[in-house]
Amino acid sequence: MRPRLEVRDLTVVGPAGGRPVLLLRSLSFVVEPGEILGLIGESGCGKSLTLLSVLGLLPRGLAVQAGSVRLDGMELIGAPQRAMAAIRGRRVAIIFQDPQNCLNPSFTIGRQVGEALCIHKLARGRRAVRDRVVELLTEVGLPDPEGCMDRFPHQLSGGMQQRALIATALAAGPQLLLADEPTTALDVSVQAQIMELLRDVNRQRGCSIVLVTHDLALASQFCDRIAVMYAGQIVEEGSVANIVHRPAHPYTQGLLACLPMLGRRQQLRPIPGEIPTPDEVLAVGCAFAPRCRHRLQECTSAHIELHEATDGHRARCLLVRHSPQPVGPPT
Amino acid sequence: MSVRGPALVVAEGIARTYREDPSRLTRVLLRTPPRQVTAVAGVDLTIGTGETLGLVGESGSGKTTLGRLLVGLEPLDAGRVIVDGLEVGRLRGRERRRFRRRCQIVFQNPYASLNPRYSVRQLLGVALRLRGLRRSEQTEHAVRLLERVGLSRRHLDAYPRLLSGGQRQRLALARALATGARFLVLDEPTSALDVSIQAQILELLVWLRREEGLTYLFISHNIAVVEAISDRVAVMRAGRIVECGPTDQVVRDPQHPYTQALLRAVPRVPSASC
Amino acid sequence: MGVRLKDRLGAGPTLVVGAVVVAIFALDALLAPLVAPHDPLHGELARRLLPPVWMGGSADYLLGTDGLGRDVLSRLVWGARVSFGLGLAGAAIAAGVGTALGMVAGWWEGWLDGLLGRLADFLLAFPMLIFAIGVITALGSGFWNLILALSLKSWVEFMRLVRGQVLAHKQLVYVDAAHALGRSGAGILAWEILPNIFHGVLVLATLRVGYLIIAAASLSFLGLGVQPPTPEWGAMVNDGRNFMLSAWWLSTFPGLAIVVLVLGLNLLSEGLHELLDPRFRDPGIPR
Repeated sequence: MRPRLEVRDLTVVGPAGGRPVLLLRSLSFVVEPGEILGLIGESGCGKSLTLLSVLGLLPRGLAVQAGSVRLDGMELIGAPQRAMAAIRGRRVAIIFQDPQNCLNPSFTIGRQVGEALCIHKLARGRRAVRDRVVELLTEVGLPDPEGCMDRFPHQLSGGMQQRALIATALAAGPQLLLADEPTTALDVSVQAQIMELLRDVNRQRGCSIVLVTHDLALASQFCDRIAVMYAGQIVEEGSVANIVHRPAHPYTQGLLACLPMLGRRQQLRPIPGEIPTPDEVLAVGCAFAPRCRHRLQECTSAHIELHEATDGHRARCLLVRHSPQPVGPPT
Repeated sequence: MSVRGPALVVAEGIARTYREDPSRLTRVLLRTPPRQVTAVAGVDLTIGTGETLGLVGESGSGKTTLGRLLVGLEPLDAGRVIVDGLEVGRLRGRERRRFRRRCQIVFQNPYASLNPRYSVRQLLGVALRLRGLRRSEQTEHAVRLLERVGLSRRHLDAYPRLLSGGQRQRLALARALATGARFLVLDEPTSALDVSIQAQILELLVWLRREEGLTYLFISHNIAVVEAISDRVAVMRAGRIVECGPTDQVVRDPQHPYTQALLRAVPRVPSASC
Repeated sequence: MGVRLKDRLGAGPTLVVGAVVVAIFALDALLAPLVAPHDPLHGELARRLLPPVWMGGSADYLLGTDGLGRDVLSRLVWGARVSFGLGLAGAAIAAGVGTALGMVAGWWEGWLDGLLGRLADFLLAFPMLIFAIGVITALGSGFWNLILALSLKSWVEFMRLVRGQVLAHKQLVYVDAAHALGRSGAGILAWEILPNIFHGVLVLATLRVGYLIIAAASLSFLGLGVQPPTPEWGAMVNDGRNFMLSAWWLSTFPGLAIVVLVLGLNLLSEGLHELLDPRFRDPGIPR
């Protein structure tokens, strides 16, 4: 089967203090139809930027230097603006972190959801649009969808706003949903409900989801596979079980060791050092090497590939090449 | 409900209500009634010397207001707060400002809590001068503080915007220590930080508490973070504390239905089954 | 690392151009006795209405002479002192008064804020020139009365700007932090908030200097400002009115001087805005 989304060697450059730096460095990953992929990483690792490049919405000054992004086999890099506009919303939709900033405060919810329908000419006539919007609002679990239609964003709670945005994203029936930290601005109990909703959307519509988050625990509960990003690269990818229980890359191990987890009052073991900014990342070798406890001499000089640890579980680390077994237990 | 050591902070029946008065015009034209929001509705709280009390709650539960009340940043509508034997509400003017230095607050957003116009040296200098240190002693003292929180002399003349989020939060801690405070309200101090940096700050907080004999009120929406650092946990909802007890007990065997629901909603890493 | 001053200047030619133009006029005003080739008040009727040098005039009088035989260039140079001085003094007084009142109004709010707000509304209802004409009619003309007339209304903009900024900054966490450190209200206002909003005052003040120069020139043009024979650009434009067809240079050069200086001030203001506003600093990389 053809993958829904295939990103190959995606390289994005941007300016920093007058000179270009690599923000995404030869990024490759695949999302299968119906799959949920988690993109995990800390701020500045390029996870949100990855989503924007897929949509062709890179901020000014940033450019794709190399690589390809294929949606159902169709190349998106270099596609004309008109084609991209037809794809955005219709075949790929995105939801962002802060629902409050994504909704226009001056228009009703009904109008904003309906707009997505009208742009892609999926419903004609007031009646038809309204019926379709009510259906969508029902699907995303908004109580009293008829009433919500005529309400303004500030009259809804954060969780309800996010539901309304998800309805907007689903309006044109996309096969791929990009979710950029969709629950970071919400309370935990609301977060659980929204993730539940996204899972329903995935199951019922068969829609693939890319979940960008910094929360490894959240991703491990929700995703099929996880890709861990560091400094513009994927450093490890694999099934949830492999990533969480048999992490191969020292960065993933470090993330797990410093993530507070309920009920296992473990001693947190911080990763030393700071997250590198893109202009601090070494040109050769492993970007994590300066903070790594297992650093070898070659780590800063050799080009490091993704090495297969087990089937479908790969890590960008020399230790994996040396010993296919995971290096040390995570706890 | 046991308190470790003699009580350093005692709050009795404290309450705070905000009134949102619409202007006369909106009241007449839009018929908006004045609204009262009770942020804190009668809270009793005791924190022992050297103890860390975790305060968990969702947004709007009043946990931030409670923290601000304890350090005297907001006026009390009812009840009283006693820190180190002094009653906050009774002090005025200079006395009140002097009192404030005994307890400090560290805010969530380290980008907003440091005046961008001041260098690290100046930011610490303000706190040291208000404490009464002479200019000649300030630099030496500032360097010592920076080293305590994991920064160094080379950060002295940096401006906050050149520091990373973690470094700024370290600086905010150094400034709080510069006042000689013994009680710190930590209002979501790691929420704006990345996980790997959060762990560094938590480790630093634990170390500082031991070294300096500090007492913390650690406010967070993240119960897992609170669990990692607190001796006791208080769960807050709609201005009231619904459950309070030793951390292990609250997390393993929550009594209040709200605490139970809160704990259920926290994402967990699935257990190793394969 | 922070962006170096040089890089920041390179990014904005407006600042450099504006600063150079304003600096030339400022030097000109300061060094008028050295720069001006002739006495601006002394005229020789025998040499009246000489054209500029490139139109067959004398090399002694580069920009020609006026109806009383006075050197136009020298009067322009000395006029810079008067016009620039009027604008600077008016804007400085307005900025000082407005900033102080704005800080008080924004910090303590209450009845004083209400009173100042209504006073501001009242003053803003008058057009500048009509208001100034009223003041001068009441007080009489002259350099200092002119400055008074100009700044009596101009402080309002500064008060509004500063009040709004103080209201906004009062909500920011760094102010809370200062409270927690035990700083007094006045201390926070002067040492925490003012440094953060001062750039806005400076930018507005630069802009107002230009505006006041125009206003002062307009008043002098109407005969209400600086009185003859003091060289002032607005009055010089007026003097040249009668010779518009025969001796165009009399009105054109002072008019041009006003345009160029005000343009320079506007560019400088825009440049300062870019230089000082923290939002324009360190564009950085999106993370």
